[in-house]
Amino acid sequence: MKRRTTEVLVILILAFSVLLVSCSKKEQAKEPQTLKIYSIIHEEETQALVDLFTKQTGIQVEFLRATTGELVNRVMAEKADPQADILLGGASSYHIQLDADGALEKYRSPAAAGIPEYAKSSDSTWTGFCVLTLGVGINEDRYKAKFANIPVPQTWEDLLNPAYKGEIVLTNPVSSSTAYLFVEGQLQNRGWDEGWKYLTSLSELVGQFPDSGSAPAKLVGTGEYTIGIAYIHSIAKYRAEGFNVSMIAPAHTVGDVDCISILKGAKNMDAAKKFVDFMLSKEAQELMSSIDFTIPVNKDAKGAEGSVAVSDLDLIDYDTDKAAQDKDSVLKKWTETVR
Amino acid sequence: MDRDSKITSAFRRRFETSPSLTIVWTGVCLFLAIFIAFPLICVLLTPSASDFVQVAQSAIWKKAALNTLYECLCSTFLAVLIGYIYAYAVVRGHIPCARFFSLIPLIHLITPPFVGGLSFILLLGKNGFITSKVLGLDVSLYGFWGLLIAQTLCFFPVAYLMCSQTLSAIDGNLEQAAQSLGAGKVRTFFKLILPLSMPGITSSALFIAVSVMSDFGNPMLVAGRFRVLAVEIYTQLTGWVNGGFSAVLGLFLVIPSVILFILQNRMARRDMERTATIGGRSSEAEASNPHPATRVLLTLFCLFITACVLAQFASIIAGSFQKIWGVNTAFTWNHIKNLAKCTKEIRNSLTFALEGALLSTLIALVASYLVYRTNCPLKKTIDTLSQLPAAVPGTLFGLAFTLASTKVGYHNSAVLIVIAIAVGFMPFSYRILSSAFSQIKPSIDEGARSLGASRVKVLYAVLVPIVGNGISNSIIYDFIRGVGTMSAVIFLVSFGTPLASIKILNLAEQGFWGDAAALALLLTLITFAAVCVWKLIQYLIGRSRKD
Repeated sequence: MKRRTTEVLVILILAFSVLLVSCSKKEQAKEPQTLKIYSIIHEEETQALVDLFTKQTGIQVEFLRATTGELVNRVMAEKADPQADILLGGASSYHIQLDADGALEKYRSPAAAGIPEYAKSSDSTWTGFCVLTLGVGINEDRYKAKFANIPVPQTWEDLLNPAYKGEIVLTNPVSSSTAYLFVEGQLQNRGWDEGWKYLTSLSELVGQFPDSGSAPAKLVGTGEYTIGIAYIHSIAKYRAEGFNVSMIAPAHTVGDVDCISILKGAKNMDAAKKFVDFMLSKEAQELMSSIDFTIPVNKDAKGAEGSVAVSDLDLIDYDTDKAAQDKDSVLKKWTETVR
Repeated sequence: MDRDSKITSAFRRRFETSPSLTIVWTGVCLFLAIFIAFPLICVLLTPSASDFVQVAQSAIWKKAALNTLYECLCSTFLAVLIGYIYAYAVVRGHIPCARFFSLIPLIHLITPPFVGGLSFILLLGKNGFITSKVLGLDVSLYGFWGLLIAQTLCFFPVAYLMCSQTLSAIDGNLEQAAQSLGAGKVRTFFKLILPLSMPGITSSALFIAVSVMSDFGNPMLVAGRFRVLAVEIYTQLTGWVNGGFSAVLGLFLVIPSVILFILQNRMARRDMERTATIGGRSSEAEASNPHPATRVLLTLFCLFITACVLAQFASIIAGSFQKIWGVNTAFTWNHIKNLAKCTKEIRNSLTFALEGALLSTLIALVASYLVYRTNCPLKKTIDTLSQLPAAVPGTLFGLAFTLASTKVGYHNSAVLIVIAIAVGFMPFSYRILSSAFSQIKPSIDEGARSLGASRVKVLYAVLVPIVGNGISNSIIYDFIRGVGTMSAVIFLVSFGTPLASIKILNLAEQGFWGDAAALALLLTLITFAAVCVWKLIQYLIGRSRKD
């Protein structure tokens, strides 16, 4: 019995150390001079873009896909010694925050000359590569079953119908930039007092405040809820995949840009700059729109069929700086009044 | 200097006789200091004073803290109750197919965490298969009740593992003695079996309480508008990148957990003296059969729980072969075909989880031995540090690891992932092993020692064989949880080290539920096969020993 247990212990220790050594060797065998991208946009979209970039330039790319929160935290934590070269995707508010933290490199791409002012930062750190706008997603089956007599909502005000109680999903603005955009948009459009009156009435009808910005489209798609407030392109994507959802772009809606930034201290600076140029090019913009139904910022690029063009939308003049300044007070008031 | 010399002299007094134990002790202390204390200190230094003020003024956490407390008490109670009854049925209930039933909690542990929440929505959601299609109800379980169901189902396997360990260690002779002295079956249970299984019950209750408190996966999916602290932390951290604020909230979670540890330690000490039942190798008398009616009830109970677990599993299988999970039910092979892209993820997950499980069990074994069987210095510190990771929300711990590794400029993500898995699941290994140790009478080691065995020899030659079952359970559990873990490693995966669990989360988050389900199914099957092989080897070794 004694010998057996000794053996087991020795085997345990040996097996462990062998495995550990072997995997650390694997880790070291990495190719040098590869552009490294932290990607917040969808995996298949990133893969397609990266493939096209490698085909055009011959530069090898590795990417790591994760959610906004994770990657933004990572960039912040690794500020002193960045492990990636580029942060691809994420609403402007996150890039503004990273910029304020000193994590971003300055680079104004020559390709950014033609894009609108709201899509680039004033200190030439981040650049927007596609436009995201808010809308309403409706599960048609569930809507017909529950609200056959009520016409489908067309405006933000229509959502206040008390019949919808418990059937609306809105992301938690404390955790999601999508929902904060909605809240701040309503406040800027209606003014502080009227805006809060609207938000308070709406919040009483909301069935759930999930934390992820992609949740409303998902929950409405599967028919858990009837109405969801989300980015129009995310609803369009679900619709294209076969979910029975329709999207509505109400008047006075708001938009934001998905941004790309080079990280300060990036180890492959030249390749990173080339990638930013590439992202703003017509080919990349159209490729992206064809996969994810986003709206290109490059005026030469055409949005894919199924995406909603900016010219078809009634956008308010959203003030991003004001949104950043108001954030703390708005979220404080939200937490006090809504929950 | 003064303190050091005090420690040294204490050290000399107790450790003089065994230099080998000193080496082991130093190793454990170094490991705990570098991989648990240091990262946590890093993360606790992140918040500024203003973050504390901000939290104190904010209304979020008060409501969330009350909710957490309430939900934690209810789910822990139910999970332990179910886990204990299940363990009793399997170990002492003489129910048919006990071996099959003993595998069910394991299957449940293997399914990646997000599957629990998602299949809950598919089965019990507003448009769920059971609630809406079978029962024809239009109800919303989102909120307290949904969370209670999800957490209870999620954590009962932990209680099962710990309680079955304790229950199978109870000597059948005692039960027979009690009954031959005239005690009825009910009386025997309440006066003998239940008190003797208290170490398992309290250990698992405290462990589950801490896990429930720090879990954010289930509350995020099924809690609806019912907010709990762990979600607030995750929200603050990943939503607005407010590391300081969430570190402060994390402290609020760590404080009750530390209180629970102190309670547990007190109880464990008391139980250790009162309930140590394994003295030498007593004859393994068969426990008597329970009343037939009890057996029927226990069997029905196990069948019900099994049905719950299998329904969840069935929903993943269904998802793997449907065009769009729950929406377009047409059959497709596409999701299975897409699995070819994920071989690297799967290989990484399995290797890292195995390494993490071995490391964690090794450290936990040595640490629990030091704490429960010796008078080594810094005993309380070792005890607390070994259990602390359970009290820290995984995401926060992952962030702590990232901060610490950046601070020292170490970026080998494979090693970091293995250590994060090991550290994250060590509290469970530690609990399971220490509750096994606390059942062994101290007279055993004293006997061996007086016959001339060294401390380390007592550990590997006498104690390890007795707690062998605990070691095996701990490795299996750590491995399974390591394969499915997300929160602790989510910040650590890097370009060369993708993991299957993270890939599943990613796919699900992007709406590719079919692919996510298929990957989850494959991962579950591989893990299950690995566990079966392990159990088989264990069985063969056990048989060859009896021969």
